[in-house]
Amino acid sequence: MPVSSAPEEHLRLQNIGVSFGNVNVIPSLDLSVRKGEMVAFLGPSGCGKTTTLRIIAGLNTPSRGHIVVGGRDITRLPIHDRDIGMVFQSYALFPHMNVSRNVQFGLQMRNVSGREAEERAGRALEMVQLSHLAHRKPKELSGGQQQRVALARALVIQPSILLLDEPLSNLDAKLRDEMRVQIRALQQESGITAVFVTHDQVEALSMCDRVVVMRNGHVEQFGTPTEVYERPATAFVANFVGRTNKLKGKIGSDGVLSAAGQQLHSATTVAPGAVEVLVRPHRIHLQGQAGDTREADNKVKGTVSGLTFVGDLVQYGVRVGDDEIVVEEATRRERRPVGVGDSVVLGWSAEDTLVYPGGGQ
Amino acid sequence: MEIHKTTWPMRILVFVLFAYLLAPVLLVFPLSFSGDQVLRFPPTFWSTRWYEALFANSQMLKAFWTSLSLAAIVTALSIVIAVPAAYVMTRLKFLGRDLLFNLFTAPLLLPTIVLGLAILIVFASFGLLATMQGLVFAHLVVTLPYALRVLAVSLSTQDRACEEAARTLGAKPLTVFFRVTVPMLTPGIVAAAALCFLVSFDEVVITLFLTGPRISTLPVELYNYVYNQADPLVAAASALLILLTLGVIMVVERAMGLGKAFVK
Amino acid sequence: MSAAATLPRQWRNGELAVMLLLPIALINAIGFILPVLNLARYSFNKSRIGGGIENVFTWDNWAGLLSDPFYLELVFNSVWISLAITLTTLVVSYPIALYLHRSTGSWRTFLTVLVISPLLTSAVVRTYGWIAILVDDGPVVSAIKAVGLPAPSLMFNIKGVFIGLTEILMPYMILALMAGFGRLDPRVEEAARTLGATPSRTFLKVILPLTLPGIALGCLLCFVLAVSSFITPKLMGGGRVFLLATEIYDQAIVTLNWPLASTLSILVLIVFGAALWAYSAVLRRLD
Ligand SMILES: Nc1ncnc2c1ncn2[C@@H]1O[C@H](COP(=O)(O)OP(=O)(O)OP(=O)(O)O)[C@@H](O)[C@H]1O
Ligand SMILES: [Mg+2]
Repeated sequence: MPVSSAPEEHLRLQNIGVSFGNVNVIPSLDLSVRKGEMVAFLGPSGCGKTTTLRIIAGLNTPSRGHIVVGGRDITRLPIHDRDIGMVFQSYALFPHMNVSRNVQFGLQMRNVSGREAEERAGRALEMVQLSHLAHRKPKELSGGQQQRVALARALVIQPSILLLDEPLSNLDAKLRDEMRVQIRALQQESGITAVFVTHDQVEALSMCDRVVVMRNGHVEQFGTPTEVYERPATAFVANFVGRTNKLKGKIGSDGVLSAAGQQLHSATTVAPGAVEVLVRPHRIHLQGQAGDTREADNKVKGTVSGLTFVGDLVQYGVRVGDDEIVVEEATRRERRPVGVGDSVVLGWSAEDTLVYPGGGQ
Repeated sequence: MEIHKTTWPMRILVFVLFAYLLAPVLLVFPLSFSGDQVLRFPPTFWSTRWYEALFANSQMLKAFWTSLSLAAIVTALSIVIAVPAAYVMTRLKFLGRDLLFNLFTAPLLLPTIVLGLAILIVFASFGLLATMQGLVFAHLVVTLPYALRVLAVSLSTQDRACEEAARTLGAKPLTVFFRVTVPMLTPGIVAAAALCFLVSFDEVVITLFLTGPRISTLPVELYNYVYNQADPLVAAASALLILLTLGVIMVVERAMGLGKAFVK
Repeated sequence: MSAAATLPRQWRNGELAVMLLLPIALINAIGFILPVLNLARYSFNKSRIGGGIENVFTWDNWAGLLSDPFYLELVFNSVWISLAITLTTLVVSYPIALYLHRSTGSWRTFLTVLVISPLLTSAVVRTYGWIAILVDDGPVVSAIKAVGLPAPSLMFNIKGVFIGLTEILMPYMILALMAGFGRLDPRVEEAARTLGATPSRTFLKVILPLTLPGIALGCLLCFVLAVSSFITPKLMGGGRVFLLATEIYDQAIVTLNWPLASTLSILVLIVFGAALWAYSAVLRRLD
């Protein structure tokens, strides 16, 4: 198979397929990652994120397809020759070596001299602010510290690609926020190409240059966080990334979209038939509020059935026919109070009306 | 937990049963300080004469050293042979693996009296009777299954991610084995070694078939001694044996304690 | 697949793997498989007076064994005594196991170590301990005499063997029972009690049925060990207790009739097979 690569492309998965026994976990996967970018693999549990990562590292063998790094086909290359750093979900620190030795391990494998290895390990530990713990054993460290050692150990060998398998899932929420910033900063500083597996959408959207949304072993959408969020390619992506209202609708043979008992306008065009109409809660506004000048292509009447304050947000449940639509508005002081049972008009733009084929009936 | 308040009759019963269970082991200690010429409990007066007699008994001492070196050799060989075997059996999937594992541990299921006889007949034709090589080989037949089992359990519960991490850091398979797998296996190796040592050192039935006037082990000598006369000399030897066993157990306990620390 | 991927290529080809398994396979073949097959063969060979065999096929060993009342009685006695010992071991082990199951923390650890420690002590040492306890002027006989009862003879007969062997097998039984007690949830017992069951009814209707698998396992283990036990009957029987295991030894070492010893060994294995079959039958009934 001829191997070609676009100028800025760094890692390419080409028609990768994986089977365990006779279970076809990944039917066919194509993906191209640019040099120096950080890509997130996002998807529900069991969709094949870890498997794909392990294929890149060489820890699993694909049943077909090619892995190309920097224009070189490494599909048949043994793991230890691949030059790919990996941070494991469980950190996988060597329990019998102290922190410094853990970090030096990869350098020793590359025959870096003892003194130099020590120095470079020292610098790597400085980078993750752990110099003072260099002589501790891994079991004497906290989860976040172990995580940073694992990161230093993977980065010190200056691999061409860094793989991270849910590196933050074992940390508490506060530490996770800190580590997100740190990992992203380190990645950008070193300019390393990184693949980051997560099933936390906030993590994927906030940290990464591009996001791969996976489902059942194939790519649903590959794009920037904004693209994935604003223009989900499929109903699955729209549902999985961010919260959304789901309405059943249909497109008549005249091309007119109807849902929630009336005609709606949408920027997307879909073939006639049953469709799913998705609108994000914070893109819907209660019409007729004082000072509300936002235009609305779609206007729908409903009755407020529930109301919750969530800090700087108010969440309304609005009953429209058989559907319940969730609306999120920023809390504003001059607003005319709306209460449960009030009749309201909901408005949103045609751009925010996402239409996908299917949806049953 | 009202119901689980153990009643007094139950406590007394358990105490009596424990006394029954431990009586022969505990009795050996006071008996070893007996001053009597014959086996009598309680002794009429105390002395250390039986310890002196034991250390003056050259046959017993020789048998002790034989047992010690036998157990040491058998332990070392068991570990060297069982570690790679356990590694292959836990890390590699191949057809008939479970069958092979069962076959390798099957000697444990065979009564030692039957195994002893079976080995005796074969060894007689090989000229291995009453030789150190013969004893080492026969003991390996029983210690290897123990070692294989303990090591296989340790290896299969070991975190595989560490080996994988080492591979991604550029370590070749053999390097991973010696620098990651084996060091992480240390508690399992210590436990397996201790078990092999105790099994080999205490083995008596199979050994009885294979020893002779030329070479004999301590348990066999003790057996022969008790068979002929039961004086407190054996109590002195037994007391020392029990202390030795306790020492080995303590080594294991410390190693396993270490192992638990690793898991955390 | 992932297992194979972490191994080098030549391992996947299996050459190195075979090499690493070779030593243990050789020892297993020469020290276990060959001897056992050979044993089966010997049971169909003719013995020479004073040792050695004639390599001719014969049913004589088996025919002789099955027609000799001495051996029939030997087998019957061995099985019967082993069964009795097994049941006694069960009765004396059950309370300890139950108590251990209910105790917690370091007290439980301590008691468990007490249960295991005899296991690690040589059978010769423990048998010797029993000889010291049961000899004619030993503490037990003296105590019985002191109460004014007629002095029993506990040594060099089946009684001594019975007492000693029961104690020697206890740790195995206790450990098997405790493994089986894993199924015994204290709350079940409490539920039974709160529903008005008396302690004895709770035991019979709730505890005992739940612990039957452990009991079956312990009994299998102890029966098998009792049938093949040799040291204790030999030392405490004083040459007056004849059991399968001691007879095998005598035939092999004293009489040098290896074919007969082999035949008796195979017979022991057949008894084992029967015990195993009974065990699995019981387990199937329980399910
Ligand atoms: N060694 C294996 N043998 C058989 N099936 C496997 C193996 N490893 C993974 N699978 C299957 O492959 C699928 C993908 O697994 P993978 O671990 O890649 O999922 P994931 O996306 O990482 O999920 P998670 O978010 O839960 O970690 C799952 O259905 C899993 O059951
Ligand atoms: Mg995963």
